[in-house]
Amino acid sequence: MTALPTWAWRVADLEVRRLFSYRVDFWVSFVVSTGVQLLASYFLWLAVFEHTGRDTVGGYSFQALVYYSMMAPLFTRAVRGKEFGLISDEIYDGSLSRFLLYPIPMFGYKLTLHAAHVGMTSLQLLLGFAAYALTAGLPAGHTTSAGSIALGLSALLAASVLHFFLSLILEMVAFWAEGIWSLLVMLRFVTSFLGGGHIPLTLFPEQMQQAMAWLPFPYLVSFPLLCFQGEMGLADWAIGVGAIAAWSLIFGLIALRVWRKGTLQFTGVGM
Amino acid sequence: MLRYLRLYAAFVRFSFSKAMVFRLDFSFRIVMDLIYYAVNLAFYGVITSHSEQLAGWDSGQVRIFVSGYLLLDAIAMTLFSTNLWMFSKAVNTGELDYHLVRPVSSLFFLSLREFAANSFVNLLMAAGIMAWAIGSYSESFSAGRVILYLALILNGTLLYYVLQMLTAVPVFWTQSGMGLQGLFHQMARLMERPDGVFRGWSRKIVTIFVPFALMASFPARVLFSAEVDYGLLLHLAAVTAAFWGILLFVWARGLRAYSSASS
Repeated sequence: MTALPTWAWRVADLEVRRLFSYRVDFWVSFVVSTGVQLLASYFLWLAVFEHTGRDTVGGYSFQALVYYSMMAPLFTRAVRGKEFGLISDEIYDGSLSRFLLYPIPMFGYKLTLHAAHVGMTSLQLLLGFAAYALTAGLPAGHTTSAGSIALGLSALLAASVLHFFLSLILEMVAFWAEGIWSLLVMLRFVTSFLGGGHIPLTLFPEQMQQAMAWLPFPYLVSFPLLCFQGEMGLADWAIGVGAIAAWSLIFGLIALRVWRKGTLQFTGVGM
Repeated sequence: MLRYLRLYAAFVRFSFSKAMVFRLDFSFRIVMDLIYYAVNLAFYGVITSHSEQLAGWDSGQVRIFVSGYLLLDAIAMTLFSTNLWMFSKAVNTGELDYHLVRPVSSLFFLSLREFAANSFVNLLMAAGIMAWAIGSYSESFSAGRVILYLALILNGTLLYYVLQMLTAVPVFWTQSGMGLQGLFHQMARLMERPDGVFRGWSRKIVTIFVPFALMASFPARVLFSAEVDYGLLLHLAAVTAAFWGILLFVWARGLRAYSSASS
């Protein structure tokens, strides 16, 4: 247990280096993705506001919606961390066997890899925020501060652990099924839309909003983003993080059970 | 031509046999695309619940537009997207050699040999969504206009292919994992917006330089207009022909730069 920080730092360091071996891809992808998102959102919401003539839609002004539309995909991307290939590739090619022998816990190792990705994409998120704040300015009424940024990032970190367990469960379906890539894409679609990665959840019909409050998805994107924007007080933050912890515990236990079942029938020869 | 059709029929037969071996994956992929369709319809459903019109289109017209890009996406996924994903690997591993020595067009073979059987099922569903969107619209369209619309969606699919291929071909020079295809998929989101929302410089970008608005939005505009706008059709034809020409040029240059397995 005392050795945990040493190997974890080393694993994270190696993963960051690996990520930066394609640093042009990493940054160009970030810049183009953010630019396209901004372009598509700005003109879409402009058309909506011009047609309706209203000052707000779903409680958001035009500037606030454009800002939300740019930040939400950055949060979605950050919370996903290492989205694909957490463990399924190793199940398919049989190299998972090493985790059954190495003195490193598999979940801890994979969570560290995931955290390295979350760290890097969170850095992009902060850069995107700074660039937007400096060029366009924050929407009127926004109370983003150093404190709210800290609350937002800590909520994001907690949400990324929840996403890790959701992804891990789907990846471990590889013990039984031959192709699980599509399951992860399904998770991406669902978390983006029901998590508030496309549009703020307050724009959804009232009944749907009530139903979604019972699901883990709003805690993945919308909740950290609202904390970041200063729309959640310390008490709301604590309740939200508590809910994330509860969901993480549930999915963590499911992941553990799936892992035990899966490894029992894992042959180690690959598929 | 007949030889190519026979070859393509063989690709399709082989793809269905392969898909039936991996049945669970086949089913997962069908569900995945269904979720994609549902999310897109719901996204515009939420938007139009707050605004009766979007860039001059009512909710029924927006639904038809959405069904257009869903159909286009399904055709692309069925016919060539899988192939284009694998293209960079073929270049980087030297596997391309085997395709270059075959007595058929290398572009044809590399672009179409993997027919995605699961996406074909989704193509049928996307077509069903379009039939529902057009059928439930408050006004009816003439058969000729619907046929023209479908032809323009096919033209949009060709343009989608050309742009995706143009982002894949740079792998001849960059030797990177995916070429610039990641960028293509990010930019392709512009296809999912009605062209009417863009104006000024942004309109020039999406209608000329990265012409995603021409793929599903212009065809929908032709469907909804009272008279056929021949200027619009000419624009579509000119941009498609220009991009096709660019692709053939870049492809020829890329093959010249290809250094086989060592690349």
